[in-house]
Amino acid sequence: MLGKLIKHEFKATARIIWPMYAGMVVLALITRLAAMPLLDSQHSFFINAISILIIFLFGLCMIALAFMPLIISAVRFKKNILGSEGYLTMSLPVNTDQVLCSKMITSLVWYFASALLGLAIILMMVFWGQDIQLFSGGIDLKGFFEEAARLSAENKKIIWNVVLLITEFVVDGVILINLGTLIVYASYSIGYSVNKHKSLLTVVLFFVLFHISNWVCVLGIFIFGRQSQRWIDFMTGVNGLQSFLAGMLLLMLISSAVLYFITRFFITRKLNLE
Amino acid sequence: MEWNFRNDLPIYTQLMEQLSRAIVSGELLPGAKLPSVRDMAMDAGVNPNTVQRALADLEREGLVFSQRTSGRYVTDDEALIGERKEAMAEEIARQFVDSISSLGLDKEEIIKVIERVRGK
Amino acid sequence: METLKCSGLGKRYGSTRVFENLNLELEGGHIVGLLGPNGSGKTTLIKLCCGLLTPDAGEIKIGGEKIGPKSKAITSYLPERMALAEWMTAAQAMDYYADFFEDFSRSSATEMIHSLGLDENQSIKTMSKGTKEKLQLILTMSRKAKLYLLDEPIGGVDPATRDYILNTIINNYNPEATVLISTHLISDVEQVLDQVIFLREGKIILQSDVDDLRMERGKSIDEIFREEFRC
Repeated sequence: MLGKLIKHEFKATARIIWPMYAGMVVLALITRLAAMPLLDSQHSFFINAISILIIFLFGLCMIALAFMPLIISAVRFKKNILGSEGYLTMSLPVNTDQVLCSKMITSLVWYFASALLGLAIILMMVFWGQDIQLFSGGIDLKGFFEEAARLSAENKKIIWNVVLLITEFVVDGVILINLGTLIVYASYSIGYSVNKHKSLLTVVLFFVLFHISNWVCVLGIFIFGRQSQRWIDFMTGVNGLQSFLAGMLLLMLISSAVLYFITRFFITRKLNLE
Repeated sequence: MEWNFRNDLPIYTQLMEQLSRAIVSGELLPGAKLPSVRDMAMDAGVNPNTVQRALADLEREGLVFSQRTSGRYVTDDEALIGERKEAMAEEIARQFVDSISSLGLDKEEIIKVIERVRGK
Repeated sequence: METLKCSGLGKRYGSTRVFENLNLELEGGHIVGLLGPNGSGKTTLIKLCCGLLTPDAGEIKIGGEKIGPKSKAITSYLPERMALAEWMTAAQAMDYYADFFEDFSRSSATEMIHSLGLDENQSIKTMSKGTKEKLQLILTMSRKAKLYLLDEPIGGVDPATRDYILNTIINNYNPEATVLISTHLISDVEQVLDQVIFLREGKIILQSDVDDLRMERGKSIDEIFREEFRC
C-alpha cells in the first residue's frame, strides 16, 4: 500500500513540478544567452540592463527552486488531507502512518531532484561553450585526487572517516530537510483542527515551531559543538566533527518524532473536514 | 409495465395490487415468466426486498409460482385468475356504488349512468 | 454477523455532545434511510463509521472489524463533497480506486461510465456538477463492499440525475451488504428504502421496517417524519 500511495503522490505532484523544471531549464538557457552581451562591453546600457534583469530573475528562480519542494509538499498536504480530497484519502484502507510517510518520502525525492537540477543548471551555465581546460588551472582536480590517494595509502582510517563523515552529512541533511517538511505538516494539522482562523493559526504555528526548532539546533550546536573545536584540522579533528553530527542527528530525530506524532494525532483524532 | 406508487401505503401491497391487475387484465399472460426481483425493482424504482415480499405473498395466494432455478411465473390456472378478476372487479364496483349512492341515485339510474359512460 | 454495530457510542465537538451511549445494529441486505434534521448527527455518525472521526466513547464494528484499514476495505463511502482530485480523468480515478480497493470492479464502473456517455479520458475539472456526482457515485457503487455510506447522495441534483442515482443503488443491491443513506429529502427516497432510522439530537427515536411503519401509521415516511420532528 505504501508503494501505491507513493506512486499516487508522484502522479499528483509531478504534473506541477515537471513544467516548473522545464521552465527553469528554459529560463537558464535564456539567461545564459542574455549574459553573453555583458561579456562584450560594446553594448548599450539598455541591453546590459535587460541582461542584468534577466540574470536577477534567474537568481530569484534558483532560490525558488530550492524552496519549491517545501511549498509543493505544503500545498499537497493541505489539499489531499485537510481539504475535500481528505474525505477519500482518509477513508482509504491504509494506516495514517503510510499516508504520512508516502508524502514525506515523495517530498525528499523532489528535494533531491531539485538539487540535481540546480546543480545541472549551474554546471551548464558555467561550462557552456567553454573548455574544461580553462578551469583546470583554477581547480586542480587531478592533483586533489592524487593527494587523497597518497594519504589513504598511508592511513586506512582516513577512508573510513571520510566515508562516515560524508554519510553523516547526507543523513543529517536528509533529516534536516524532512524536519522542515514536518514543521509544515504539524502546523497545518493543528491549524486546521480548529473552526475559525485556520490559516492564521497555521502561519503562527509555523513561525513558532520554526523558531523553536532553531533554538533546539542552537542548543545542539552548543552541547555537541564544544567537542568539535579541533575539527578545523582535518586529520585529528574528524572525530570531533563526526560526534557533532551524530549528536545533531539525535536531536533532529527526536524533534522529527515529536512533530510526526503531533501531526498524526491531529489528523486522526482531530480531523476537521467541513 | 407502468408503475404508480403512493408513499402513504405499504409499497409491497401496492406492488401486489398492480401485479394482480396486470395478471387479471391479461397484460401479463398466464404462464408468462416474470422479470427477476432485481429487474422488477429497478423498473419500478423500489427496494428489492419489497418486491420479494410482494412476490412471496402473491405466491401464497397462488397467482404466481416459482421454479427454483428459472425464476417466477404467472400461474396458468385460468380459473384462479378468473376468480381473482371477479373479486377485484367487485371490490372496485363496491367502492363505486358506495360513492355514487351518496349522490342519491337509485339502482336504475346508476345502471343508466354506467351505460352512458361505458357506451363511449 | 451485523454489517454495522455501534455500542455505547459517544462523541463530543468541543462542548456540544453529539452522541451519548448510542447503540445501533444494521444487518446486511437492507437499504436504510438515516433521517433527521440538520445537526442531528447524521453526518457525524457516517464520518465515525468511515474513520474520519474517532469516538470519545464506545466502539464501532463493521463486519466484525474495528474501525481501521480492515474496516475501510469493506466500507464504501460517498461523501457529500466532491472528494476526487479535479485534475484526474475518469480513467485515472478508476485507476486510483482499483489500486486501493480490492473489491473495486473496473468493468462495472467502465460500463456505467459509458452508459452515461462519458469519455473516460475527460478530466473531472471539465465535468458538470451533476456528472461529477454521478462519477463519484459510480465509483462508490462499483465496489463490492459490505457497508455503503451515502451522505446526502441526491441533494442538489436534478430529477433525472436523482432517478439515475436511486436506480444505481437498487441495481447494486447485494443481500450481504447494507446501504445507509443519509438524507433530508425523504419523499424522493422513501420508495427505495426498506428500513428507516430517525435521528434526533444524537438519539435514535425510531428504527423500523418501512412498509410496516406505513401500515401502522397509514402515512408516508415523509409525513411521519414531519410529525415526529414538528418544530
